[in-house]
Amino acid sequence: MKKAIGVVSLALLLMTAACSNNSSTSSAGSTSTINVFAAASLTDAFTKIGDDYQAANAGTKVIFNFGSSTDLATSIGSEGTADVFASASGAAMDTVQSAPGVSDRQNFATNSLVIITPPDNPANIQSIKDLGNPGVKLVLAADSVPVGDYAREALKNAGVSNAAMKNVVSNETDDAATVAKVTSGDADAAIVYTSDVAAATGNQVHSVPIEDQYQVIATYPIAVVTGGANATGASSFVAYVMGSAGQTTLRTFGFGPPPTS
Amino acid sequence: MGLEVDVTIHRGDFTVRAAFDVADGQTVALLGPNGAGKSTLVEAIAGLVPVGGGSIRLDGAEIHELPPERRPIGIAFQDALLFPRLSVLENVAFPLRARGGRADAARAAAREVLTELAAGVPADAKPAKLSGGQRQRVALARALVAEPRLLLLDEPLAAVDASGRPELRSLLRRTLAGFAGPRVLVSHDPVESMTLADRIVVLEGGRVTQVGTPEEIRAQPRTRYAADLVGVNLFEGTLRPLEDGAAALDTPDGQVIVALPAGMAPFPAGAVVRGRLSPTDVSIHVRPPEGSPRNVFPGTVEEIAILGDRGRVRLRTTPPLVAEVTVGSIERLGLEPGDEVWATFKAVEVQVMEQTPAPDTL
Amino acid sequence: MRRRLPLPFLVLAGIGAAFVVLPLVALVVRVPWGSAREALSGIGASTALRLSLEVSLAATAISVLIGVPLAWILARVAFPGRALLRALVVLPIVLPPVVGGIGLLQALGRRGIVGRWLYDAFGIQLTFTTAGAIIATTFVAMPLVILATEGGLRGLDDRYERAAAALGGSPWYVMRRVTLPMIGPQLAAGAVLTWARALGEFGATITFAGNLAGRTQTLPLAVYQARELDPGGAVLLSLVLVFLSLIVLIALRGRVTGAA
Repeated sequence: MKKAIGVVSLALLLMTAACSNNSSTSSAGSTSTINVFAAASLTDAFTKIGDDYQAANAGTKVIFNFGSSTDLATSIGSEGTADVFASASGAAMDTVQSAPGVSDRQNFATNSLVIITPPDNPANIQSIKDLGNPGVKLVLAADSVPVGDYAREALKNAGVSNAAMKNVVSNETDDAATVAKVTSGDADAAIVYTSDVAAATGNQVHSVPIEDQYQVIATYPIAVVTGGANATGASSFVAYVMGSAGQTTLRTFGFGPPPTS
Repeated sequence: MGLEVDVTIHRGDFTVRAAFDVADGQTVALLGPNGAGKSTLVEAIAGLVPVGGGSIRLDGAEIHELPPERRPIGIAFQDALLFPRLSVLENVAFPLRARGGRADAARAAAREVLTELAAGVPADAKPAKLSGGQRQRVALARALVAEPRLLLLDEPLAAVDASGRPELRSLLRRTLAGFAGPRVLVSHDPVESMTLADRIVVLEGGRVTQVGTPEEIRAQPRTRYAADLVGVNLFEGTLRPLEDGAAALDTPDGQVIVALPAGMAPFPAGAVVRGRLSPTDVSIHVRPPEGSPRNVFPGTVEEIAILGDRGRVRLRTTPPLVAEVTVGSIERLGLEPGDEVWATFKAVEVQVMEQTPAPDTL
Repeated sequence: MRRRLPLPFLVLAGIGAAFVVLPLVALVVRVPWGSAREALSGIGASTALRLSLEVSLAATAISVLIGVPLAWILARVAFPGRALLRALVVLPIVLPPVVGGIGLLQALGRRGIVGRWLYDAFGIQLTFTTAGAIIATTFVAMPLVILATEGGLRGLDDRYERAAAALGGSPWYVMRRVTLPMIGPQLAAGAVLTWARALGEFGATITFAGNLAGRTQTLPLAVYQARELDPGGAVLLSLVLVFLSLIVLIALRGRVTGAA
């Protein structure tokens, strides 16, 4: 029995040792790595930015971790491997700001909401108010996901919240999954980011704009995460995103400029 | 009307071709070595193996194209094959319930048959708890409960140990005698076949080599296998006359000198004949014999079987021989398997018979 | 004599055991026992539990109903393409569940190759419904029944079935009274494994049926959603799932592999 305990302890020790090795990455090598945690809605845009950044800064590798901003905020707090955090919501950034802390926080883009339907618009959605019509199969992201939160806000603004919430048939895990339910033709409508409609999915969905008075503008903050392994690289990356090259790319993918304040 | 079988069955590379009849109230044993095709034949009659050509008729009606469950047969298998998850009673009731009978009526009928054939066996026991003999009784009950028109028994005593056999054999005899229709018994055991059957069909290599009553086969075995079964030495080959009135019988296993019987019609050259030699006419010597016996065969002792005060000695000679000697002689010579010996017999003691063609049906 | 085990084996086995046990231990340690009740009701635990049981049991029943005959044919009937069909039928085990969900969408979604006809002719849409959740769950779980049943049948001595036929049993009667009872243990183990898998199903369900409390949000989906809003509640809910599965697996007592 004693032998068994000894062996299991040894095994556990080995495992922990192997895991903790990861954090102290060799920044003393010729390649420097920047770990960027970014909201799922930024996937296409930031991948392009990452490629451009690597081309402009030889010897640097940018590694992305895309996901729902709230998810990422949680894991940054517990894990500590992120250098940069680009969030779709201020609340998620606040979480990271309190623990482990951020520096160089600035808003780098905005995103607005849009209604999408399958190309043939089976439920004949002409405006956000139509989302309250009986029998409309509406798909939103879950309210724990920023875009889901914003969508519910927009519906409230338009005064159709009660009726529309009755029409919700699914709460998706992120905006990509929400779009997928529309491109497959199973949802009658969904509310997602304008950036989600750009390029790739443009032909597979039909967009219905939301009137300005009901619109919700999502402000995207970006920051250097305190305690990351590559602070210098992080700042450099943030600067690139804020710079004209980064901003142009963001515009191409449907994002709006940061609010001037 | 009984059972009329005239079939060809293909099983992979193996073909069985057999024709025989079984009258009502008659028991026919299919006797043959392992691999002869006996079980194949019975399975074909049962419907578990398709018939390649020919027909099987029961009471005048053709049954060879019916699926097995529609044939009015009762069958008991070598390993009993009682369904493991059903109790003894449910096993016996199975043929009745399978054909749509009501549960209570089926169980009552099952109980009746069980009382008759397997009185000591508890009705709600599971087959795993029974002995080999008990299982066979239950299997027999299961075969009979639906009052079939034909009874098939596949090696019914094979899975029973030696101590249980005599009792089971007499049960079988009684049961067979009480069954009105035709009965077919498969066996590789000559004692079983000889005591239970009215007629025997000898099957070797997929073909019928002899049909007859046990007495007929004992008196005139037609093949080496049949001869071995009844304990007789049989030689088969071509006859070549020699100068001094003797002849050489050239068999595939060796040459035997025989005396040309005087009154027999002359054989055409190269005719195939049989020679029958009783084991009691074979002598065993532990040193090369003196004198002038024409038939001397050196070899080794393969097996010794003591039956009462006689011993049957199987010899690995060319051709192989069976000798029957007294137990006293065996002890005197100190015979043991593996011993080098010389077997002799006199030429005149070989009974030469003309070969007759194998019968088609009886 | 006590068997002496080679040390490397012990180490590896130890790692294996620790690997599996550690997350479960962590769950128990981190449960907010104090606020358990509010946490559970807050995330709709009872609805999710009820729905989970409904969906998993329905999926198991359907899996057994169509999986057993299919397994029987695969085990007993030789036909061209049998090997291919067997591989395809077992594929969902190997496939990432989300991929299964996507496939189901393409087949049975409102514009899927069969789903389109269902919708146009009958107005039936399977996505976003409990039926859809059941379908997705059956898709990933049924291979387990098929594997267990086929394994059982292959190991069965078919002489019993032949005997039963010769004694008057039609193929259906033989299957019912002789074959199925003989593979009872393997069938039961397969069904339970299927149910356990169905209970834990996530990827195909959320991709095909969506996620809505009371209609498609089974326990695993509820856990996933809860972890952002209410990590404590998520841990609690996860434990519920763990205990459910544990009870079942212990009840099986090692018969999971189908050995009777």
